[in-house]
Amino acid sequence: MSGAATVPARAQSGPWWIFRPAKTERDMAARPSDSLVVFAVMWGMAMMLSGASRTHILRGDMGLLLAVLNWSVIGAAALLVMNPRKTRILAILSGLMITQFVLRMPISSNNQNIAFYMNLAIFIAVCSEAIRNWRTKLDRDVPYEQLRVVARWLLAIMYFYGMFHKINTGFLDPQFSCATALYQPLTRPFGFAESLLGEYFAIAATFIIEGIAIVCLFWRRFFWVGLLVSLPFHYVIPISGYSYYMDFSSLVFALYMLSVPRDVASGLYSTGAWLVRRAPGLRAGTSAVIVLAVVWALAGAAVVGATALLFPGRGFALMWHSTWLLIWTLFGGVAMVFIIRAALLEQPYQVPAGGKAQSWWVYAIPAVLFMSGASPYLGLKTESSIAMFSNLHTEGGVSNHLLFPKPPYLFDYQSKVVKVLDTNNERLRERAQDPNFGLVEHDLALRLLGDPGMWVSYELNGQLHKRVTADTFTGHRPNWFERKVLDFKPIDWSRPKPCTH
Amino acid sequence: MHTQEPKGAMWKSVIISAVALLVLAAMIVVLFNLPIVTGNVPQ
Repeated sequence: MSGAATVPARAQSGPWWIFRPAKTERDMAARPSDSLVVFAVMWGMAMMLSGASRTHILRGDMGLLLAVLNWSVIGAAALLVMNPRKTRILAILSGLMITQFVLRMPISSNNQNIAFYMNLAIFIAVCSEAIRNWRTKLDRDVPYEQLRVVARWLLAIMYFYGMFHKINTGFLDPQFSCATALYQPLTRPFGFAESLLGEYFAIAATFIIEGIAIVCLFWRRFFWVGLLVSLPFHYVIPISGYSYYMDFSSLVFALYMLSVPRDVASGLYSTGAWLVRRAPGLRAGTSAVIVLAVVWALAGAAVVGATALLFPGRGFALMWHSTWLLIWTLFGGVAMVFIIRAALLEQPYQVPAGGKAQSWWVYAIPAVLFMSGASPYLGLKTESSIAMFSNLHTEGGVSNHLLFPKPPYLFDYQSKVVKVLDTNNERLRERAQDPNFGLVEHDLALRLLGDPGMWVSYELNGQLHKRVTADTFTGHRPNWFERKVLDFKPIDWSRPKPCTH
Repeated sequence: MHTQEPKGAMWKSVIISAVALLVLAAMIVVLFNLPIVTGNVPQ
């Protein structure tokens, strides 16, 4: 810890100091790069949640190497949370994440893709600085300033596509909108789940919140409004239980710690340092937080286990998701309160912008994410394009996007859509019962080439292909790069398009 | 060391209190939405 935190006298009077932020409690000796310490803690948490979501890999279903890598990610993430000043652990964690990601590509999860871009930036920033200062101590200010730019642009691009992809007939229809899918579980306990007005509100709120978030990322004076609007949004989404969103939300929280003004993150650092000094149970710093998390996780697991007795037959995946939901509700909530508090500490904010132009790679990484987000319209991949839960359809030369009834394809990967008629793959046969179900030919090729025993009868452009196997497949066979980079959703032709990933 | 109440602190307290209340509400809501209770397999 650098310097001594200045503690207001009233802070010693009880826990109410949390609700009374005062600029005077900021540790003026904190360095800008102390903010990197705050980010490291949150990034470690986010990577831990991400690792925990891949239970099938942790179990070894995808091989020993990936299992070992994923357990190493969780171990390195825990080590980082306990030692957030050790920037080298941050680099090792990002290296492990990059390796497991590349080995598993293509990956449809959008948050894992965004995490990949950020891990790439962390790895390059820390390693290049470590090489530059080989014989001396690593200067954390340099990677911190570089990562700030990357994080802000990743968030901005994420919000941009988060809105843009949703301008379609499916998302704007309350009966089918993914906004409704999240709105209903969140409001059911209050009796508002079936309110049409509430559903329209949820649809509008998605655009309004993401719009405010993107504007406030660049409007420095009102950065705190962006935090105030978007953090509760990201906090609440996982609580719907609709999907495993915790890793995504914690990733966004961490990226915000780089995007906010330097003083905010170092203000949060000051509060953390002060808490460590004052609270006997937190003397061990972030290690104590890990212990608290484990205790809470065990308590949560006990509650979930007891609940499972009331609902026999529920699988392990539901128990696992439920336990992490309880962990997120407490720790995400506490993190949100303290981040917003740190932002309010700095109000009114009038510090002029202090960033300087960075190396080309700092801008290149978000630029690639931007292209990736545009790919559904360009005829490239439809997964990992920040189009999750957006009701968007772009395949087969038609789109439900209000601005692109006919997508401006530059590539023809989405042009060829097959209708599966029969197959010996049980799961695929079940899905093909739906008359609105289709697959991009590239997707069919990947399924056939990945399973030599599989056959599929299908129709493509009015032509029947009977019992096609990997050997007899006559369509385009994706090369190594195409297999690694291009990933497609199964197609649903029903209109309005229902909510799927 | 400052003990004087800073100007404009009240609205900050209101905001933090509202966010803390949201967390409390979320703690209740999450119990209704636990997959172990609803049986809904996450998407």
